[in-house]
Parts: sequence; structure tokens; C-alpha cells
Amino acid sequence: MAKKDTLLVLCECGNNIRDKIDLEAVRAWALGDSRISQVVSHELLCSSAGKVFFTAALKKFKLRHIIIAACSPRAHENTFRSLGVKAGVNLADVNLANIREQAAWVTANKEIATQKAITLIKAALARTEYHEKLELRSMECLTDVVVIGGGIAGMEAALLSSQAGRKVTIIEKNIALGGRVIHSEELAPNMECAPCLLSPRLFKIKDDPNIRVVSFAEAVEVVGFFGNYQVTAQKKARYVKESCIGCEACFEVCPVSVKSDFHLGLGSRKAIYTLFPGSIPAGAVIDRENCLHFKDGSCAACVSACPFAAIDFSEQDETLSFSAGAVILAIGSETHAPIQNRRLGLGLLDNVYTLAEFERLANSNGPTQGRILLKNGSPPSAVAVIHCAGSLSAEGLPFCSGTCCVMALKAGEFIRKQIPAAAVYNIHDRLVFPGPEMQSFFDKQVAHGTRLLKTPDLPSLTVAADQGQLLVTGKNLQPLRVDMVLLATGQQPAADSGKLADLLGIERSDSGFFKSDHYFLRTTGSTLDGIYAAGSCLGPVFADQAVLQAQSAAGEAVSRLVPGRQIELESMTTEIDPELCGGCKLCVSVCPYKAVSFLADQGVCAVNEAICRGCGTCAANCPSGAAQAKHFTREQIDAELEGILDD
Amino acid sequence: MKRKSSRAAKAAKISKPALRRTKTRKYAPRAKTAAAPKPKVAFYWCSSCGGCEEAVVDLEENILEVTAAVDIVFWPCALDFKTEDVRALPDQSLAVAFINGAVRTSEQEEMVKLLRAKSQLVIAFGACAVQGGIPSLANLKDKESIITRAYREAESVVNPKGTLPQENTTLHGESLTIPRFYETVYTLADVIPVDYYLPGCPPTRSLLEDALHAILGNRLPARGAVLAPNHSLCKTCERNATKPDRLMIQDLKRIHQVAADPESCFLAQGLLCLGPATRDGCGQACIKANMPCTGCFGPLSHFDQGAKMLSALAGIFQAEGETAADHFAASVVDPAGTFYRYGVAASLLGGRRKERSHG
Repeated sequence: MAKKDTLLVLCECGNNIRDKIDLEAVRAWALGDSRISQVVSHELLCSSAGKVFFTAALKKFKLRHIIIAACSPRAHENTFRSLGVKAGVNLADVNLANIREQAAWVTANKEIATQKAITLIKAALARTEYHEKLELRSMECLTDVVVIGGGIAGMEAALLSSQAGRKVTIIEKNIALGGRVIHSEELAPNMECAPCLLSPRLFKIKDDPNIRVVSFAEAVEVVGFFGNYQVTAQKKARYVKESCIGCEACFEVCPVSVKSDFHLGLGSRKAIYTLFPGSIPAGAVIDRENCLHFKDGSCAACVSACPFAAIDFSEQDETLSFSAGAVILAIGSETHAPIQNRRLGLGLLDNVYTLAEFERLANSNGPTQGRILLKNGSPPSAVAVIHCAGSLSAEGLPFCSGTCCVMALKAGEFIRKQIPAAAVYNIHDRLVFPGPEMQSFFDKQVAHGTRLLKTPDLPSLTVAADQGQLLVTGKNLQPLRVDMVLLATGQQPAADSGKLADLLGIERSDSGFFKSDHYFLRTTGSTLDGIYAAGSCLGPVFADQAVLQAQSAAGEAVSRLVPGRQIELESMTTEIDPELCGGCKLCVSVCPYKAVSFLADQGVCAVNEAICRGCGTCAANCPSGAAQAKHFTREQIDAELEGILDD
Repeated sequence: MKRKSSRAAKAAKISKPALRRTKTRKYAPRAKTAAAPKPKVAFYWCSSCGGCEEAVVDLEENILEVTAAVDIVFWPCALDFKTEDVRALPDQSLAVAFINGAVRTSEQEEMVKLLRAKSQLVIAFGACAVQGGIPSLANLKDKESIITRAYREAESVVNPKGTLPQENTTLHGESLTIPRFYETVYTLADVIPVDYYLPGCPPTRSLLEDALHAILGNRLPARGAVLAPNHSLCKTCERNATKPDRLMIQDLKRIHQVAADPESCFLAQGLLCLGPATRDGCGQACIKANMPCTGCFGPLSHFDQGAKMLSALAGIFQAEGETAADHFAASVVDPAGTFYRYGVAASLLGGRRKERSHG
């Protein structure tokens, strides 16, 4: 004989349930059930009055099982469970039978709805026999922050978080901080000196005891949830110890010269190199692929040249791991280089550059020390900038990056500064200069002599070599003879963004940039709580917007990661029975939180309870039946089904 | 229970010639000369292919060890005993009956009930007795279509009058009765209480030896146990080490479509292997022959093997769009025969929940 130890609470949900289900019939049935001891009802249980009523009923009857026949557990399971817990009832013993969405709302037939409501309550009753107590678990949130990407956005996020007293780790893929802004000489619209903008911030980071920079490193695993992330990074060996100050003495003796990525292939560097003078970290790196020591052991010139004895060929790659409450992504974007677009001559003809490459040529830390020169060493007298190169086209970027027009006009400013007589043409269809600052920048450039050639047929343009010059031709365009052609190419997602999104389990938009959780309200929140994004990894932006986004991301992260604040951990985690588990690893494959791992030494899989969110995916997926979700065990689900099928 | 009792009532009686050869039996039990009588053992087959009998013969010279320890008093496949010999035994006088094959005819039901009465232990021997086996794939069809197909439509059949087998036939004034062919194939446990289960198609020699030793040495686990490890095949599969931690598959291939790598995990190669949902204990015979597991050892505990494997497969399937999903689904040509090859009778397939005759 079943024990009469259940309190049934009926919620009328205003008229939602009252009008559709004969609650008196439900009550009459319930009073005849062998397990239900008391039946109470309320017109709106989730209201303030309803909650008081609920708590009072719990205290009055003191019954083991509480079944609330009301709305979907999605709506109010937590509401009533926490009230139950406060009243001393175990989490597992407060359960909802969803008679609103599953009965009241799905039929106009009151009789059928009533019958179904009773069936659903029977199901909830049947499983109580198998309920086991659940433990309420919580932990203090981690307040540290990990920033992935050390460009202007990443640096800003780190500085702001540090200002709030948080420990920050910046994981930078390149050998030093700086990102894309350091590639520029000056930033539009006010032609602010970019290195001057970055340099003080770099040194601030260097001197900040709260900030740790882990460069030449990539995140390889991120597990956890808001307030509790574990980030694992793979740090490549530099072969140069931290005692290196970047004095460059080794550069002179290194016999190997290779193309420099920092100069976008336009200049060269040695096999031992720094990103740029004054970089953070300042230390050099040996490029293992090209260094003669690693090739054949034939050279150790840098070892003897180094005044600090910093060269260490025995250094190994390192795996580092960091705990953090939030992760801020600031990996930037990449220049879309439509090299497949042969008609514009990029990569084929001399003196055809993307704007990004041109910025290197115009930069005092660039391969020509900032002198704008043609391949033959002479200054150009006429330059054409082709807008929307590779953009707004199905085979290239289908969207407008919104940043290239400004960079295109900025090129004219650089050219005129060095070669006042040079003619600068901008061949365009549409122009984007949002806001008064950008508009006046545009007006100024036109006033200073930049000539605009509008054509609706940009896709018809071709660039060809012609008598030592470049000839730009196209429909509705007078053939134009120039010395240099610059392509205003758009911004595409960084090559790593897909890998990183998969690693984190966050979504990307159709264009491949990280997706905001909400376009207007949570622009810098990714689709996963506790993972934020800032800068052009969310879509092409100017440096000012990148900084704003970084402030937004860091601001939200630190305002939520308050020291001492508790975060609830999942009570209904999954357990894997090591006796049954065959170690087939399919649970590892499907866990969206990376909470399951394979223990190679024991040949079984195990759930990390601190990370498990109780979604039950692994339990449903487990082919051997070894994984069981707490409160959703096989016995409990079977009993629930029997409760439904039993007439 | 209604279905079963009516079926029992209809169980056909089998007329048999009254031949008794017990007295002239060539191999008289040696127990009579020993101080203590040796335990008596019976082997029986129901709907099966004979492979389980083969598994007993596979004991090779160890069969002598077995016969030294026990008296085999009934083994239709190998020794000439008759039903009457079994009937003549006192109840509970057999130490153990190994019964292979699924139950589909009245004769089989009668025999297994008889053996149950005579035996202290009944062991469901092999996939068919344990879960219904390949014969229970017939549960996906009804009796009528099976009989029609076999006796009228099959390409090799010449039956111009369309004659079908009859339970009772009168010919030249003589009446002939053959066993009734049931509508459904049953596992052994559907018909009689079963004490232990030895899965496999067929069970391996070592499992059988272990079971015999456990019985003789009185080291048996609690009744109802499956006498094979309760973990999946992956646990002992050498290929498991090659399976990536995060396995996602876009496409399923069939074994004849590829040259399977002899060392890497079949699933990782896009070949459907039921190992993750299948009980271990087979010694990986198929895997070692570079063939994926087809699931003959059945599920772990009492899970539904096909549902478990399908669910797992759905979890690791990764492709965009409905077309890809359709293509993936279509790549399993015979889903029931693939995921439930050895266990339709014991499965939830068809939505039917069958009551067991015990517990």
C-alpha cells in the first residue's frame, strides 16, 4: 500500500487553467488516490500571495512529496523549488505537473483536458517512488578574467578589469601585443598617432601587477560556465629567455632573412625577431622553422651576440591553464584580400596594394620607414584607390565593412603629406562616412584634392600594366593612368574565429563574426553566458568602437563577478557508473559544456560535477546506459511513463 | 498474461512413437559407479540455427572434462534421447538445462516447460534464447505473411495448388499433427523462468566453460544474471584508443563500400559498429577479423540496445540541413535489422511491452 505522503497543489493560473480544466474533478480524483494526502488550490500560485499560500501549505501539512499542477517547469519550477527549499523541503521533492501548456492550452475540450491533467499528475506521482534527495550546491564565483587577443580591444578590456581589481590574463597569439592598430601610422578621422596611442597603454599593461601577458600562445580548451571557467592555453617556445630586453644585438648577426608577417610580407625580418621595437613583451623570438640552429645546427651566432645570455634552444612549448569567471574575446578581424580577383592585379602587378599593405608602407615602423615609394624606388605621382574591392559581391564579402571608405580617404592624406603634387583618385560607387566627424574628414580630403570618380560598374574595373604604369579601365570610366593602385578591401572574420567558436561553443553570425547575444541589448555578450566579445571579432569596427565594446564587455563581466558572490551549481548532474561504462567516449563527444572526459588510465568516462549543467545529453546519448542524469534516471522516467500509460 | 495462458492452452500435443532406448543406451551414465552421482545436464534447441550446438562442440577435448564431471542426459542434436526420457526423470533432477533458440512453436514451448520442471537451473544459451535473436526479426511480420512468403512466394518454391502447412492433416485415414506455429517469436524468459543468461551468437567457448565451472563449483552470481561482463565492448576493444575524444560523423558507410582500416575505431571510420551499445564477452572475434560489431551479445543490464545505439548515433551525427540528415538516415539500409538484429523479441520495438513470465 502506497504511503499517503503527497501534497497536491493546484494552480488556477488566473483563468488559464480554471476555465479549461475541471479542477473540482481533479480534486475529487486526487482525494481518492492512495498517495495523495492533501489537495489545496490557489488562483495564481506564482503571485506574491500565492507564494505565501504555498509556503504556508508546506509548513502546515509537512508532507514528503509536493506536486504542483500548474505551468511548465520552465516557467516556475525554480520559483517553487526555492520556496520549498526555504521551507525545508528537499529540491527533489518539489515537482511540477504541467497541466497548463500540456493540457489547458492544447484542447478546447474540457473533459479531455481534465483527463489529461489527471494523467499528468499520475505520471508525476508515479515517479516520486524513485526520487532521491538532491543536494543544493553552489560556489563562490571566480572573479578573474581571461582576455583572448591583445589588440586595442583586448588591452582595454584587460586594463579596465584590472582597474576593478581583477586579475587578468591576456592570451595573445602573436609574439607581442598590439593587434592591428599598431599597423597604422595614424588613425582617422583626427589623424591621431597610432603608436603614441598604444605605447602608454602597452607600458601600463607591462607594469600592471594584475595583468599577465601570455603571448605566442593560443587557447586550446575552455570549459565551464559563467563564474567558473578553466582556460587552457598552449604557449609556444620562444627559445629566448625573459631576460631579453629586445636590444636587437642578435638581429645584426643572424644570417637568415625571411619575409615579415608584421609588414604583411612587404619587408623582411631575421630568424630571431621582435614584433616591433618597444613591443610588450619586449623579448625576441626565434623562428624555429627558419633558424639554422634548428635546421642543421650550423649556427649559434645569436648566442654569442646576446649580451644577456638569453638564448635558450632547449625551451619547450608549455601548456598553461587559468581559472576565470569570464572570458573576453578580442581576436580582431582580417583584411579580406581578394587575390582570386585577378582583374585588379593584386599579387600579380607591381604597385598594387591593399589599404592594409599601404598602411605598412606609410608607417614609420614599416618596411620603408614610412616613405611611400614605388617598386622602382621613386615616389608615385598618381594613385588610384578602388573602393569596395572584393566587397558587396557574392564571390567576395557579401557585406559592406563600413571602415574601408575612411581608410581609402586617409591614404590620400598620407600621400599628399609626402608628395604634395601627387594626384589621388578614389573610384567608388557608394561611400560610407557615418557621423559628423567622419563627414568632415571626408569633406576635408576632397577639399585637399582627393578626386572622386563615381561609377556604378565597379565590378567591371580592371587594372593592367601599361608602359611602366598601371591602367585602370572599366565601364563608365575614362581610362585612368596611375603609378599605384590601392584596393579598399573589407574585413573578414579572423581565421581562428571558427575554431575558437567551436572550442567555446558560441555561435557565429552568417558572415562568420561572433554573434552577439542580443543585437541591441547585449552587443558584447556572446551567445554563451560569461563569454564576452569586443572589437572587430564581432564585425568590422573602428578603433574607437573597439575600445567602447571592450569597456562594455569588461564592465559587464566585472560588475557581475563580484568577490564573494555565490553562483548556483547544478544539482541534477549526470553520473557515470564506472562499472557499466565501457569508455566509448560518445558522451565526451556530445557534452556541450565539456564536462565529461575520458580517463585513459581507468578506461572509463567521468563527469566533472563542477562544470556539468545537468542537460542530460550524455545520459540520453550513452549507448551502454552507464550515464544517468540525477532526477531523470531510467527508473524515474519509466515510472513516469507507466503513470501515463496505466489506466 | 491473457495471451500467454491462452497460448499455453492451445499448445499442441505431439504424438511420438513410443520408442524407449534408455535401456540399450550405449553410454550408460558412469555416475552409477561413482561414490556420488554426477550432476545431470540437458542441452536443448528451439528456433535457432545450430550455431549454439556448434559452440558446445567447440569445447573440443574439454568436452571430455565436462562429461567426466556431469552426465549429459538429453541433447537432441548429438545424442539419441527422447522426450519420454526427460518425462521419466523426477522433477528438479537435472542440475541444469542449457536451452538455445527462441520460442515460436508449441513443441518448443512444451519442451522448455518440461525442461523447466525437471531442472534446478535453466540457462538461456545464446542470443536467440536470451533476446529472440535473428529468428525474432520475424516479429516485424505477421504469421500469415511469413507462411505465404515461405510456401507460396519464395523464388525456389513450386506449389501450384498453394498448399499451406496445416496443424492437423488426415491422410489415408491416419491423423498427423505438427506443432503450432505461433504468431510471435518469444525469448525463453517470455515462456519460462530463466535463471541465467549466456548471450552471444553463439556464446564463446570461454563463456561456456566459465559458466560450467561456476555451476560445478557453486560459484554462481545472483539468479537472473547475465554470465558475461556488464560493460560495453569498447572497454576491451584495442581500437578504442584510436577513437577521438570528440567524435562526430557526417556520413555512414557500409562495410563493403570501404577497405576498413584494421586498427582504427570503426565508428571513427564512419562504419556502424554496435560495440558501444553491446555487452562485452565475445573476445572481439568480429573486430579482430576487421568486421564491426553487430551486437550479438545484446545490451548492458536491461537497456534497449537498438534505441540506445540509435540515440548515440543521433548524438554524434553532425551535418547541416535536412537533406544531409535524410542521406544519413538512408545510409542505414535496414534499421531494424541493423540496430535490433539479435533482439527484436526482447526490445521495445513496435511499441509493444511484453510481460515476462516471471518476476
